[in-house]
Order: sequence, then structure tokens, then C-alpha cells
Amino acid sequence: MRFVQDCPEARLLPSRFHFALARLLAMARSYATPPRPDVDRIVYAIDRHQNAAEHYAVSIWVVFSALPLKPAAAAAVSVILAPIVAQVPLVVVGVLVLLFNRGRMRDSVAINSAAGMTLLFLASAYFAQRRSPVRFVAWFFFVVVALNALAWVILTLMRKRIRQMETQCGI
Amino acid sequence: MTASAWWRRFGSRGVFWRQLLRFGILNCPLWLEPVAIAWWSMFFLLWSSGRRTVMRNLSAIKPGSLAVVNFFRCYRVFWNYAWTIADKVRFKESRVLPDWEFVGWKHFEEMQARGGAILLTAHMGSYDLGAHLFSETSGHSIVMVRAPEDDPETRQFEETHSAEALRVEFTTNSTELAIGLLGAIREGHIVAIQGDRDRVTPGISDLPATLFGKPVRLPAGPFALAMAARVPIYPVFNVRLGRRRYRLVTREPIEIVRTANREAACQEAVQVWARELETIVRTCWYQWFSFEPESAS
Repeated sequence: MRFVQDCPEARLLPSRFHFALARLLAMARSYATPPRPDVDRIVYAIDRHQNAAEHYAVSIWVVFSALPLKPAAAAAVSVILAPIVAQVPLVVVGVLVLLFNRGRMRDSVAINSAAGMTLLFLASAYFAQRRSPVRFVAWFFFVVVALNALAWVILTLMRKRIRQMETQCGI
Repeated sequence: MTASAWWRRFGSRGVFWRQLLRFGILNCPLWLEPVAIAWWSMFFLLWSSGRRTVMRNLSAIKPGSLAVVNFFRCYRVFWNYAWTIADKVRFKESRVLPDWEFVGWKHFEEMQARGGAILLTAHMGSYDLGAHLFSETSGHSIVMVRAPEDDPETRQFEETHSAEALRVEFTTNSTELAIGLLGAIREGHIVAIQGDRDRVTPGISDLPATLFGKPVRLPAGPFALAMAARVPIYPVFNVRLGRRRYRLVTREPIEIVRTANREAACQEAVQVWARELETIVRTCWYQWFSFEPESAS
């Protein structure tokens, strides 16, 4: 794990964020001069899961997307089959991740995160076509996914600027 | 294993909860973490003795506040505690560290520069993370004094999963402990003691003090040790500010003047410490993890 000492600008380094949308927002905010923290010294850890605002926002988004989809899914599939069916995508995603990622995502947290997101993606794809109000939740999920993809493209174009920011902070 | 020993693992201090937390850290997606912690903090409100103690502490820290308000504050204490222990396990298992802020850097540096010192702290933040920070920023190792876990399985679990930078000494035999700690200070180590809890172990001496206007008894050990080793006491507090964000507050050292009246000198130092403790706890009441009865109540 890398650290940056006494550089307030490091707080909004894109490398401290996970999703492209959050990284892009951090980039936008980084143009304003960050306030000097009222402390003697400061050490920032460079980890892509470090930002609290992103972490809570993603958590709220996933939970509020999953909540209305879950009972709808339970009604759609029979009660007996539901637990078995629910496990199939988890296993498939887990195996695919292990096969195609050449062991880079061997840790369970990453596999379970990917499996959970895939499940949510599949559920949203299914419910987006239904006529029930739950389709709005499903479409909102896709809007966020699309925005994230767009942010990734913008960030790819700005990679030189990101590298420059990191160099300024000594990493 | 007897039936009662088997059931003990599910008690509030049982090993089962630590194993479950470790499992969660190693398997739970990060976006599920706030939900899991919010739920488990609510579940631990059922722990009546811990809840009552925190409520009593809160009524002393914030006199005149409503019980229902203190109940929600109590939830906030449990919520912070859950995040702190989760951060500790994540560090041990995945070496993930939080951001650090330093207040009182001058005193912190001074403590690290001198050979041997006593670090007096409270039940706040995580000592494992703090110990790692010490080993990263100085060549000294830290010796932590703490009460042993009641449950043998929990004790074994904690010993197996403790941080490398941390040497833990348990307050089981006060005489042997004092000699050991004196030796550690003379070797140039920093001895960390939690000085906000009285009656940790029967036989450990204490001194009277006033905390939030109420009479309490605080451990006398750190002050007697400082007098014997002729070193100052540094009040250091490890405060959790938010997710993966901690602040290390180091206050001015407490010097114990050696006089003919040792008890009066210790008593004076205890009062200074009580004032420091009161100041920090008043600001950061939401993370004073004092779950033992007879704290500020």
C-alpha cells in the first residue's frame, strides 16, 4: 500500500476511488484549491476503496436497487426454485472470474462483489422489460452503469492529467 | 468441550463474533459493509450490560440529556466500535491502512525520539493500527498492557491474530508485570497503557480522581511506573473520524516530580490525566468504548 504525506491534494486523487464516475467527480473537485486541514501532519493511503463518500453512495445505491428487485424476483420464480436459481449466477460468475482473470481476483471479496453486481445487472435487465413500477429502479441502475462507462471514457482521455496529479503528490 | 463452554463462544465476549467478523471482512463485498455494520450495531444493542454502561457514561458526559436521545447516541458508540474492530481485522488480514491525521506532532516526535516512554491512552480507536503506525514512524516497538480476555478461546484467537508490531502484556500478575514493564522502558520501548478504566483486574491499585464531576478511580500503575522509570507520561488518543480515517492526538507530557510524598505527586498527575481524558471524551463521546461498569457512572 502506498502513502502520500502532507499533500492535501492527494485526498482527491482518482487512484483513491473505485468507480470511474466517482473518479471523474473527484477530478472535477480537485480543480478547486483544497482547504488546508487544521492538523499538524496528514498521511493519505492510496487505495481505490479509500473514499468514504463513494463507499456509502455505492452501498446506498446497490441496497436501494436490490430491495425492490428482491421481492419481485421471489414472486417471479417459484419459492422452491428461487434459492437454487439465485445461486447459479453466483457460481457461474465466480468460475468465469477465476478462469478469465488468471487469478488476479482470487480474493473472495472481489469475487463476491463481481457476482453480486452481475446478479443485480441480470435482475435489472429482466425487470426493465416488465410493466410494474419496479422497472424504474431497474432503469435507474442502467443509467448509473451507462454514466460510469461514459466517465471511464473521459478518464481514459485524461490519463496524462491524472498522472501529472499523482506526480505532484509524489507517487 | 462441555455444553456451557460451547455456549460461552456465543456470549458477548465469545470467540464466535470475532470469527464471524473475520469471515465477513474476508468475504463480504465492500458495498455491503455499511449495511452489515449498521445491522450488527443494532443487534449488539441487545447486549444489556454494555448498553447500560454506555448509557450511564453518556448521562455523565452529557448531563440532563434525555434517555431516548442517549439510546441513539449509544447506537452511534456501537456503530463506531464496529467500524473500529472491522478496520483492525482488515488491517491484520489484508494490510489495508486508513488515512492518518496528527495533532500534537511535536509531542509525538519527542516521545519517539527519546528512549523509553509511557503512552497513556483510553479505550478509543484501534491499538493495532496505532502500533503499526509507531513501528512505521520510529524504530521503537510498542508494549501494550491490557486485561486478558475472559474466554480462553477468545484469548487464543486474539493472540493468533495480533499485529506483529505489538507486544501485549496481560494484567494478570501486577508485580511481575511492573518489573517487566520497567525493563521494557529501560530497553527503550514505549509502554502503552489504557488509563480510563478502573478495576481491570483485582489487585491492581488505583487512585481517586474526578471525571465529569463524578468521583472515579483510575489505575495508579502508569503513574507509579513513570515515577520508578523517571520518564514522562504522554497522553495519546487514537480517534476514528470516519471511514478509514483516524486522528492521533498527542497531548503535552505529564511529568511526575519525585518528592518525599509519592502519593501526592501521583495524585496530582492523575488529576492532570483525568482533565485530558475529560476533554477528549467530551468531544469524542461517540467513540469512548468503555463498556465495563463503573467508568464515569
